[in-house]
Amino acid sequence: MFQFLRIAARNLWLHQTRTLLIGGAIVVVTTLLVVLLSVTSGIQKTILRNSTALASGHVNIAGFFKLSQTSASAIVTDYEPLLELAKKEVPEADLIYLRLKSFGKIISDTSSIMAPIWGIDYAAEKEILKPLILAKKAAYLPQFKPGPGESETEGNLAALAQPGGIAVFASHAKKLKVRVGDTVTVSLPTYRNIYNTKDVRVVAVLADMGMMSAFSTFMHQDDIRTLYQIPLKTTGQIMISLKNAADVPKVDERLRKLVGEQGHVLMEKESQPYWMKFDRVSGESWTGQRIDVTTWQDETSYVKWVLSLLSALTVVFIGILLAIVSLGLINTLWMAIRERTSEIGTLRAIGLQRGQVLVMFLYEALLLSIGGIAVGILVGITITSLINAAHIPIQSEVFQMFLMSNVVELSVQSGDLLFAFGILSACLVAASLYPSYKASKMKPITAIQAVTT
Amino acid sequence: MMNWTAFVWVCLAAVPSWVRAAEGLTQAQALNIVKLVDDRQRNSGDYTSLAYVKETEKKKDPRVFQAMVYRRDEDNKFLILFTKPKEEAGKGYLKIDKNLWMYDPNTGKWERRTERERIGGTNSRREDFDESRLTEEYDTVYESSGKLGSYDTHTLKLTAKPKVDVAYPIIKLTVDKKDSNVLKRAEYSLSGKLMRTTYYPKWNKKFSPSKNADVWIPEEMRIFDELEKANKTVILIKETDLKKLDSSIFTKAWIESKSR
Repeated sequence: MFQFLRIAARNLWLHQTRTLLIGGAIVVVTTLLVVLLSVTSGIQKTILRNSTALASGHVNIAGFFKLSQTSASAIVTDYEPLLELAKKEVPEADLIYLRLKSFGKIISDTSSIMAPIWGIDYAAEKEILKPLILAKKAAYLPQFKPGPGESETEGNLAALAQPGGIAVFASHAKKLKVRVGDTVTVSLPTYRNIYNTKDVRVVAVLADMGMMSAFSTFMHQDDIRTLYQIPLKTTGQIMISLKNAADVPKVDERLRKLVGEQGHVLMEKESQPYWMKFDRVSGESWTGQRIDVTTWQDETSYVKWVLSLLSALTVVFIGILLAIVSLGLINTLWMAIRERTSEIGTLRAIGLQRGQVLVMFLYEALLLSIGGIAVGILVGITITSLINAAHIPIQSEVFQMFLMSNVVELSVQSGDLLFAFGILSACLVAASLYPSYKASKMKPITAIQAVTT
Repeated sequence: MMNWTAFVWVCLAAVPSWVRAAEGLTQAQALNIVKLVDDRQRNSGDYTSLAYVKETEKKKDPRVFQAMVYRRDEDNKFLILFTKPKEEAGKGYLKIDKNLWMYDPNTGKWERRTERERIGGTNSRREDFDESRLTEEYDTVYESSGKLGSYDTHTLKLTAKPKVDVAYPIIKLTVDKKDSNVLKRAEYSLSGKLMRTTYYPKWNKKFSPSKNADVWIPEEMRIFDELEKANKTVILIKETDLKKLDSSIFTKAWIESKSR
């Protein structure tokens, strides 16, 4: 076997140009696959980080209260027993905190936006909110040029520890034409559907976090409570941050079971954020309280299409490249077989079995593939590391929305590398099977004739 | 002891406020005006009209809608069927008892909507087309007298009764002193911020066979969004008819048949 490996290696070395060409192609395809997979993993990682900062715990105890058949409020009345349940039955929890949620109109002097508004307790969830950073003024103030010694950012999210403020993202501020210190009016119907308003001051403009930040703004819990007219025993949702995100499925399942056993009516599992459930719930004929146990994946399901699209693009793109490389490999092997017909004939004449000829050519393909893939993986890891280290800003708003971030963030996962290695090796070895098989089927007499001619 | 000069000055100073009080209304008079406003618009029978709605929003082209409005006030039934523009034609809102349903001809589906639904996405609500129920929903106090353009007016402050769900908990109603027609309606949020002002420049009087008396119908309503100042909605009510309607009109099947 070692002898065959030596023959394969020697043959690759003897035909350096051919080896470099096809090996280089394998390196390029592998690198591209690694980078594309790291983009997908990067987005997944960003979604988890953003979603838990913006709109969801790893697991949430939420729900809807219907005062009448035609209304729906995303609140949990008498939440204390449920909070106790979460504290007692979820030892995997790192932090359990409460948020109020509402959907309203934010109106400035020049424009307005409709947006979900979270009522937060800044002191309780300071750590959770850490990924939210201040936007550079240039991101929302057109024509802004910093003067000497002037800060590029303004405001402070910690100001939400006091009522009377609102934190919006740069895209909101740009649309509303507001900056820190400006006053906006928040208008929303109370849970009894009576219009209410409050004038609040913009205390922070946060850096956009892609599509997800378009659906989040923040106010103090007390302000939302006053606006929405929510009693003290009522909250928006109980959010559970876990020590390990991998525990989400089992905690979700356990809580659904326990909440049901507590006598609450559970809503059917539906992978949608709460604001996408409003219309459906408003149209249902039940009244009273129903509890909904959701996960961060449910609350961010509206961005799933991005991952699906990216995965589909990766499959198509890599499929095409792989087909090209496989054809190149087949061609290379055909050429090797043609050039080595006499060698095959001689080896067959001195007793080499067909299977051994097949193995000899397979080894050649395997060496070329594994070498190319290994180098490609190393190049891919290097490129992704360099990209991450460079903190490349994404200028295009479309790409910011798509990649859920305002800087390019890639993530190399060992699982992705194993996948890339496995799929590429399997494809390339499969592609080399036919020419190797044809070589093994060659009759010694044909090979000898090839020598004489 | 007050000297004579001081006494005369006090009396003179008191005259304007005494005159104002005489111009003002007692609680009963204020309440009677609101009852009259309700009663004048109350038909108690069936109602049909053609409504034109023009929506103007900042930095957007104005949108114009045409719709048929049908009401059966005694059964609290209500229907709006859009006829123009083409892309909205066939869309319908049907209120039966306390439920407001919306029909979308593009999907062929009915959806239950909230009472505060913006009709056709405009700044108008169902209440703008419906019968006046101010006495049932609000408590009234007299606020002031003044002038609105060339009209002498009374302004009444209406506050929502406890446990009554209305969109705007405070309304300031400006009525014509002469005929008690509503000229202006300012609607406030729970926090007291002015949200919407509606002007009623034209009223139309029509004989109602079911009521056996005249019914007053606002022929034009100009709604101004006070939070987003550039947004306004104009509603014109035309071809009002108070004849009895077929019961089949207030059914989902009827709207679906009209939407085909």
